[in-house]
Amino acid sequence: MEGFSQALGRLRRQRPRLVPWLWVAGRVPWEHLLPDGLPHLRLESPGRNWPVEQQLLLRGADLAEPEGEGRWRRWSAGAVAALSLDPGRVLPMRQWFLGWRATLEELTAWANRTGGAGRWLTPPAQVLLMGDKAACQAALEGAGVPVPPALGVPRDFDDLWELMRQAGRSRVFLKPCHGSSASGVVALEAGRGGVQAFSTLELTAAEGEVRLYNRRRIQVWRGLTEVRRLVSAVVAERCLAQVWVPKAGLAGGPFDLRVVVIGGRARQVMVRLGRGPLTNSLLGGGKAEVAAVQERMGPAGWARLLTVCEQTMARAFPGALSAGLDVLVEPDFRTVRVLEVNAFGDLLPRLLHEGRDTYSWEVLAANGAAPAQVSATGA
Amino acid sequence: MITEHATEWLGFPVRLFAPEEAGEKPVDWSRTIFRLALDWDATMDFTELFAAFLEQPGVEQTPAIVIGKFFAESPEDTAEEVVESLVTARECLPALRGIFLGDLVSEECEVSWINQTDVSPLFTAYPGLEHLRLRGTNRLSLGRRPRHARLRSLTIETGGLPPALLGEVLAGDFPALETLELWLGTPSYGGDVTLLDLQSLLSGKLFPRLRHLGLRDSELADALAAGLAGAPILEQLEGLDLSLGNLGDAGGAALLANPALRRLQRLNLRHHYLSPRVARALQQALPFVDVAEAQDSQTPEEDRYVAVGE
Repeated sequence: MEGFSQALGRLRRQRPRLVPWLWVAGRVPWEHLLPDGLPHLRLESPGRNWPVEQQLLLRGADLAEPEGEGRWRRWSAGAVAALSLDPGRVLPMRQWFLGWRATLEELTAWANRTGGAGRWLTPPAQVLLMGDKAACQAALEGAGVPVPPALGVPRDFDDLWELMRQAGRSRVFLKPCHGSSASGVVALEAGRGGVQAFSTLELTAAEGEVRLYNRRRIQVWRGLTEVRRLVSAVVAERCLAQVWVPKAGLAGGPFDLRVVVIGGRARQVMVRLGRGPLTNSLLGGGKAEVAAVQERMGPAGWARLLTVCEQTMARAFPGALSAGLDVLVEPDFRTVRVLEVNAFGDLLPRLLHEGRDTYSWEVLAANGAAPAQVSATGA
Repeated sequence: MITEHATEWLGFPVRLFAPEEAGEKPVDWSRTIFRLALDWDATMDFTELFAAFLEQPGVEQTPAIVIGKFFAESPEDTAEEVVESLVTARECLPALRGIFLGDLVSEECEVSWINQTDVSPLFTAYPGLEHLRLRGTNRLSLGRRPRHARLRSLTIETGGLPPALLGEVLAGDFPALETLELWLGTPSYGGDVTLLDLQSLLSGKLFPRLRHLGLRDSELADALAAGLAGAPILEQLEGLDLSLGNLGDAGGAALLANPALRRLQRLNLRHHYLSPRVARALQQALPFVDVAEAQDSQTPEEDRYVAVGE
């Protein structure tokens, strides 16, 4: 939020009007904070804010799944209200998303009522699409974007096993549909040598239940019993099973790229090095790595990669001002595939493209007066 | 962890063989090594890919071949078919001097999951073979008493070298062998070789022409370093490679105290847990030493991993 506000002040001498997520999610009247006729509306990430998270979970507690959806892990409103912050703990992701979706739909309705429908820098519907990996995968496939093939959304471990068998795939990623970065992601491989999985998750038994925690360290789970226990816990959050397409590596380990597309152009690029199959921005590489990848891909290959990112946004998310794409390069350093599209993937402070950070490019690309912001922190 | 495919080998660039692009650009066959590998979504199997390779005009000049992923999705297929294909093709590849079998990165298949096979038929089929490099030791065998008159280098890369396989190597009759590189790995992946198993090698009596010895990726790096004290083999070596392992200050001190190392030309200790003080002392005493890729020397011993496990 600060980054964008600062960029707005620097480049436009304007300040955004801010609305705290806590008010919107908790249905505290907030409409009076915004005067009529604001040229732009911008959604900020609601993340890393415990009261907002709790509010979204509360909101999701009463919401039913649409027809045909599975039975994902849910908590009662009472259980959510009784929670206190427990760092790293994985809370019911699907329930959170239902609350988030209801909140964004309410905002959409408000904007439609007040003539703001065309003012979103990124429309809430596209933020929601990016926030559901299964739906996003379908949208990318429909738009002809190169992606790793998906096997589906397994109900449980046996279902996943059957999906793998049918597809003839022994290496898959299991990605929580509503998770961000590497949160809850499991890399699973099976073969005659047995089965094993990599994840930053930790399972603990407490108060008669199994709890999932995200940790920084990647753990290896070996053998069917162990892997089944892990997978059973994770699939309850609603996960997309995707073929594990091998990643190219640099000396330090396999990598993928975060490419921020703003206003239709690929701008900031960051290399994300992993010590194992999982990569995320915590394990980021520096400029040296970007140059190394560029060199290995060659100018034409690099240009093709940026074009894929720009086309992804143009074809699948035409109304979105910006997004952070996670992109895989195969070990041949030629083939690229889009892994994920992150609505709030612009958080790369200090990383400059042609002398400007992501927020400055967003302000310039929005090309208008001060947008209002719906913000996690308020002001 | 192995993260990159070979980009050059034996002094030649390694290029991916893409059957659909073959013939588009002129190739200097005598100075190019092709890498034959199946993609994760390959539609052909290895024998088809290899057949397409053999059809290329100029293939008879190819100096060496790199075989990457040779199975479709499941790593349950062994390299038996690859060895059979190579044996059958021996008359089409008269210039072949090098075979690298198993150039897979861990993103494609863990090294401990690569299913190799008995490669001894290659020794008979290719009497001109000079370089053999193998990755992964599942089901790998060189035969009970392997022999080859021309083989100059033998490399076995693994997360754990089984003692039985080491026994085959050491029982081998390789009069021309100049370079021997063995990755010892960790007991977690079958790397149960002990210093005792290496005694006959260190005696220097097995391979008269041996000049370069690599005992890499070892969890016993300190013991190895100490075990080199007075080892007769050092008298014939020009290069020693103890890299990728868990070498710490105890091993570093043993190397410093070993006068026979001073006449080496190369000593590779990359990826080590030496303290900066001992690393500096080694550089002063042995200016040719390579101590790059220092790991945190404060790491407790039980957490000092080798570079390639799994």
